[in-house]
Amino acid sequence: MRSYFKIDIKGRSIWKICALIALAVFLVCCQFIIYNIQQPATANAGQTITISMRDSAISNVAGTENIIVGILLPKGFNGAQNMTVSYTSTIGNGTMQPISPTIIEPSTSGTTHLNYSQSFMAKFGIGNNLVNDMEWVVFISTQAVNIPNGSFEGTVNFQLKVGADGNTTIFKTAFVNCESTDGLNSGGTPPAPDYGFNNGPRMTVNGPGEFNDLCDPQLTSLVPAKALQNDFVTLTYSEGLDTLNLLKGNNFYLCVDTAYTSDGKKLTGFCSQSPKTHLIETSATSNTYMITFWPASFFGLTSSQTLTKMAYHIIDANGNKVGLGDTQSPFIFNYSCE
Amino acid sequence: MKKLIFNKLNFLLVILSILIWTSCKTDRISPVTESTKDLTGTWKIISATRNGTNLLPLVDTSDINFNNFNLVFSGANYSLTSSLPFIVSQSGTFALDNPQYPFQISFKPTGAATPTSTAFTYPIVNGVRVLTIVFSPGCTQNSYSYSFEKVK
Repeated sequence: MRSYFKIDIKGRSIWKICALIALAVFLVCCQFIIYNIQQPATANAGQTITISMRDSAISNVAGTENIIVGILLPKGFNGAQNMTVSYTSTIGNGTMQPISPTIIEPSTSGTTHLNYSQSFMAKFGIGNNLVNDMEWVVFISTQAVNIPNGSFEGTVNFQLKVGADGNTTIFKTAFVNCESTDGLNSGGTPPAPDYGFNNGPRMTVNGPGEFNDLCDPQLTSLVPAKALQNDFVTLTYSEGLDTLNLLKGNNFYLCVDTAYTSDGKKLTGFCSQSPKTHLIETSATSNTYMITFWPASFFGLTSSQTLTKMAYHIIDANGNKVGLGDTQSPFIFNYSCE
Repeated sequence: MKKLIFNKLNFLLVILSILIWTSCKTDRISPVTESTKDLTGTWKIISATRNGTNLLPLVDTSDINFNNFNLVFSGANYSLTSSLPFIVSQSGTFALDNPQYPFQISFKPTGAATPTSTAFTYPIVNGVRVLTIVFSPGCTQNSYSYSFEKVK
């Protein structure tokens, strides 16, 4: 009798655990939908602009959570330092602050242990941009919010001082909204994301510095986007974007007009048609050509010289040149990790 | 008579029990001592990646030749047979963090004040010992991995 009694208790416990698990499956907080984004199409570097993001959310369990928002911005904007964020909603208004990089995003807590910015980058990448010089800037509400059992709506307002680097930058924003318990997890039956994600429109910030187009296909691109003289650098030339057909044939070469070093020297003599500068087509009929080189060796730098920049063209076998925006102006690449 | 038979039976049972008990032998397995990792020799590059991308088919071998880049270990010294982006650019001395279970290798070029350490793996792949070194010669966000195989 005693043993049966014990089994009975265990059975009750199992049923209780099963019931709790089943309840947890159906109790979901919250599912966000980002359905409207307002941002200016153009701005000047140093100007403070307002970006607004409208959300609707539904929850079938009441709870207390911190609201988290992420916005994809060029690294050169230094968004965490140059932005303030607030929200208005049907469940109250509040302010937000940059989230600590030591806080782990919950969906990665048992695996890769990424913070929110890293986890957003792993899941959503650089949105609709092409050059990986973007970062996810993540803010968290300064106060916990009482989430109701039901639906609610809100608007997040970003006050952003654009173009901290002073460059002309063209890019596309993207947005994420979630809460602190679930992060980027999915829940419910059938499972649905506990977060909202949406791509934003294109924006051009005009500044006196370098031209930095992060979202349009370019005649040339360099990988890695951030590199120094001791990195291997792969330069890709997309012939199909030479709409004026400035270059002829299918033999193309890297022509570096000037390489600049930190001690003020200008290195020349690196514009030639040779095996060292020859671009190889990535595959037959791809119309895409590339060259991988080691800048320190390519420019014959000494151990005391630091490469800062290069101005270059792509040339054909006859010496015809193509440059920035299908013109004769040189392309510029800055050797920097920032 | 009955008592004698009973005593003999008891005696046989005791003997049988002793035989059964002693037939169970416990094998004690002595742990094998892990060998000290000996890197002595000349190592050639068999793979090179930049942020996960295979570099070997990308570079023009007339300008950059991975085949000419050998890493030579001799005693506590190492030397490089040519130049490539690598964790160090000069020959010098090296050390492992643990001779039996190494996870880090440090290179100290001649004349350098401090050694440079990096992650290090030493697995056997297809029966051949492979030495893999991970490093960032340029921007720290760019990760390179070179795998070496000993020249026979």
